[in-house]
Amino acid sequence: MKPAGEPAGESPRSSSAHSFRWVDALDGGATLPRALAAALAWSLAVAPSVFSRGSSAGAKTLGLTALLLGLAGPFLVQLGRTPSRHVGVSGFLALNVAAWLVARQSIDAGRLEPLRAGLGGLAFGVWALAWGDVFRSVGRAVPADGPPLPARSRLPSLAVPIAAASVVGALGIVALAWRIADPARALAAQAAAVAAALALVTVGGTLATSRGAKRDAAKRLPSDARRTLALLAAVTVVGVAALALRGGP
Amino acid sequence: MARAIDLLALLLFAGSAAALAAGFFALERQEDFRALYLLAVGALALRASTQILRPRGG
Repeated sequence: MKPAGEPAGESPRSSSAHSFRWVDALDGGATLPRALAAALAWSLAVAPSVFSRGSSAGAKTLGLTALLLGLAGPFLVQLGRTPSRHVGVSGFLALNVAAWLVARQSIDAGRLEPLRAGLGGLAFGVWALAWGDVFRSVGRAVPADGPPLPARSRLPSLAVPIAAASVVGALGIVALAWRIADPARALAAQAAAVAAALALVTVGGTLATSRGAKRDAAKRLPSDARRTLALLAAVTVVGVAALALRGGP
Repeated sequence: MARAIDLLALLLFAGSAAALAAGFFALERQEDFRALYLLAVGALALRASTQILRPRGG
């Protein structure tokens, strides 16, 4: 039997749950958050560009069409998830990028306001999360009969603090990148900060869950780790020496 | 020994985060060479901390 909280599948017209899916989509489901997140991201990051002074009619048209797709895409889930994603994600993103390219003078690094750019990036992050499963209603799943299944294992101690610290560290790295004022360096720093933040969160999750695991050769370091540590030591020594030669570390 | 390996991985992780942060501070001060050095150290430390706990194929 299909759980009541299961998301709409690829054949939404076929079953008697048709009316339920409308309720699920509009009342506590994923549709409204997705549409609202698209409107928020568009209004913060795209609208100021395409409606800035001197922007062309083409930029306005592309921007407004992108908004239309971003709002309509989530509701097309009634036709299936694939067309909904193509319109609400692919179409929305493609037309936004096209609008930015047509109105490129408004997103010049020298004119871009850091606060507005940061809020726009945050809004697009929320939009991306909204197209995930976080807003999907899961509270109506039918509980199974019998006692709850026991967990197969427990998390290592300090797993949650380590994972939380990695997330905080990743956010701090992204915030540091916004402090860089020089346009050329700022662009490279933003890309590096995103990569570093992703790596920190990923490795933090690995550390949080893998500590204390039984290993086959727990008495010594793995060979690839030893190679990386040797390379790290070499890079550290050579770098310190190079910095000293260039004028002191 | 396993506890020492866990501790080493955690220290490498903390060190990598500090090195990455210092790299971005250096980039803010327009010290490109130092920034590249610190970012490279941070990336290597991050990779080592993962490899210590999850060796390839293990």
